[in-house]
Amino acid sequence: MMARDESVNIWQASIMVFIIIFANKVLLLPSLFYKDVKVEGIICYLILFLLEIGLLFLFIALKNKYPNTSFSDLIKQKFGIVTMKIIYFLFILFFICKLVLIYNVTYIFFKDLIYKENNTVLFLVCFLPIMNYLAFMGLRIFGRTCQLFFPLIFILALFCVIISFVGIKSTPLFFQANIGEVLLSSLKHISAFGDVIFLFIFMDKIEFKRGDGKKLFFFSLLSMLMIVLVAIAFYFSYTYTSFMHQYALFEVLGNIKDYGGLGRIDVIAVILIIFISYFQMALYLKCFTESFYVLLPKLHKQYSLIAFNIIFVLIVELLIRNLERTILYGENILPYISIISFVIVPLCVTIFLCLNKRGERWKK
Amino acid sequence: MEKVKKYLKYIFKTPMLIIFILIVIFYGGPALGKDAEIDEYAVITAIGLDKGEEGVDLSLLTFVPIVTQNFAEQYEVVKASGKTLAEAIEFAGLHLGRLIGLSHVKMVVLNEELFAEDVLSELDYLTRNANLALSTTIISTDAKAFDFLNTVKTFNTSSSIKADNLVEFNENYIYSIESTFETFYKGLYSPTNTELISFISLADENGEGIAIETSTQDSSSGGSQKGENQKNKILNDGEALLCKNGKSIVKFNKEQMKNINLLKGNYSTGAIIIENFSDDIFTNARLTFEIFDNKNNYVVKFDNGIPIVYINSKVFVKLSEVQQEDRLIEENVEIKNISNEAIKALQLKLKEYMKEGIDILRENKADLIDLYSLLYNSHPIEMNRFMERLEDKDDFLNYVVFKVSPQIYSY
Repeated sequence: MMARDESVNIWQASIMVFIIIFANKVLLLPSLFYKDVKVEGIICYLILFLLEIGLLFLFIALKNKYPNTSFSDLIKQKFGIVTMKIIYFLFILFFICKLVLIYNVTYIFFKDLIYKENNTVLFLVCFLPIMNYLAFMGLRIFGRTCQLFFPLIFILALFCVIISFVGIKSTPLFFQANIGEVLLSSLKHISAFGDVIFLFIFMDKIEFKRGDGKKLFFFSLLSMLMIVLVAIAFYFSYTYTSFMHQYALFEVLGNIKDYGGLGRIDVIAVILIIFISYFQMALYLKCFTESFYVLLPKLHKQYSLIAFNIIFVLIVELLIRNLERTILYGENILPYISIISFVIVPLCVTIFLCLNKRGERWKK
Repeated sequence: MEKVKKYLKYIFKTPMLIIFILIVIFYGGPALGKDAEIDEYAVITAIGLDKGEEGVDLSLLTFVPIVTQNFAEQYEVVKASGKTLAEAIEFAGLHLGRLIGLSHVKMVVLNEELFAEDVLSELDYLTRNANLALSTTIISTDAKAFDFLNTVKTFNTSSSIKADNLVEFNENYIYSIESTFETFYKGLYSPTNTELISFISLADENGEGIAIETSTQDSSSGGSQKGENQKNKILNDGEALLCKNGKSIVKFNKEQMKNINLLKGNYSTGAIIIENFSDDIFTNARLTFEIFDNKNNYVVKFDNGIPIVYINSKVFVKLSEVQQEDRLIEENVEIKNISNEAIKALQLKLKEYMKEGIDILRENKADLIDLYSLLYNSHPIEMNRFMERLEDKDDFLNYVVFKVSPQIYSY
């Protein structure tokens, strides 16, 4: 039986999937893909989205089979408690590493464009309390907050996508990269994907009926489509200088001069980025605390938050401070962490699905 | 008292409210006591670069905040030299006694001499600088950038016309081009590495252009000094420098730009004149057609390995002026419809201009209409084979067959 304040319905879960997929793929990624493989960056998106859809498919299959069992219980019963602890330790590592990346990208974006003189402390003060608060509250509160803000987020995102096509004036050069380069670039930036893994963490907390998978798929595909459209508009707007424009969603709107008599419509992109960044970071932190709780069940939730804040501040302050180091971190270190989302979890799920015909037998 | 206690209890139960109050205390108070940014930063609105003896001579058009009753903006030009631009900017900050703020820069003026060598090294600092938007206008001039900015200063101070606005709508005219860092780098990183930069000259009192009384200043010393009064004119005549990899090759005049823009199709206004036109209505008349819209469509084909480019240009015009001897002006004004003969004559004229445009592109090996991308995107294999056969790949336009067909639409 799910605790009321710790469960979300399928709509709320789908909205979370939409936000988390959209959040960190429309700022730096289009420019980084262009740097590597030019316009064929779109193919990188498609390849990596296929993997993301695969992960989602595995989740739905698993959820259909074990609707009320948590992922940790499944691992524990099949592979033993030690394996479960190792996997959840890796989850902790995965979520904190990704959080650091997302925080830094957001921080550098705001610092570069608006708050040039402000230091990291102000940003931490702005982000950490809200992230902690959202993570500390129940999953239902988080889900309902997402639900409340979703219409606004969706309208802003839709506006950005549609308007971004107004600025297109030219055509870029196609067929510049070969398949090997495309695959290599996809691998290099794989860490920006695999976000739907959070569903496995909250597997037992999502109210799910057969056929609900369609909703998850619909919201995911919608989010992916919007990202691809933003990337296309970005490449067609800036063509050969796409690698010089680091913040795609912001830049595509900045490329349009006085749309409908309105100047500076790029502010809309900034508002959208603020919302989605908060939600994404809070959700990752929530995943961190959940994983921490599974790893050390005797410790109260507050300890996981304290641990997170200390580790997070240390990594943010000591390791990454500027865009170059953030990109270096995202391209060279994080892809190894993505083994968790794209190898370990799919492998576990495949084993569950193939070897265990009846999940209910475990319960008995 | 009870109410206050209840309220305090409520506050302490709401952690986010406490955090909000703490943020207000820690950041609100110091923010109120903080100096105005204008006291800390010098607001730069235009940058001028000249070739220096040892490195680069930098001129900065600086906004000076002064309280005036007529709301006129005050500007000063500050000059500094350095081995590199970054060093010169530091020195300029020293001269001004403030930090240099580049967020408001709208125009970068480069002396023509800088284009003789590689201008990219001079632009490196500005491109790396996150404060400077890539939409900033970039222009070249034959005068010293310092003198140019001094003229601009008087414009900005004494009139509502801002000098950077003079080129803001260049892209609308058939005689000129948009010239920003963005367009410059788009050209530079395009397959043929060719870029165009607007060229604006300083003319004397009797020349064409726009003038406001200004004082010339001694450009040889640092700081800002006032000299004799003289009228200088800024002339935006549509001229443009063609550069390849940051080095200038040739300067185009407005007529040449018109021919090129007809091929490019990115303009929205311009005038086409037909001399000595005769038909049922006119005899030896000079007709001026005003363009109010256009649309270019490119179709490419490969025939026996040779690329053929069809440029279908739809030009929307209206007859805006008729000059004919022995004819009353009232009669001319009544003529609204353009005859088929006039349309044919206009078509021929545009065809002629477009052919001249193609010759200019071929002569200068400048793919200013990004034809390479068009050919490559539509026929990548044939295009690769075609390029492999060429000894001088930059000269590929000479081997492309062009078929231009302007279509005139009038109302």
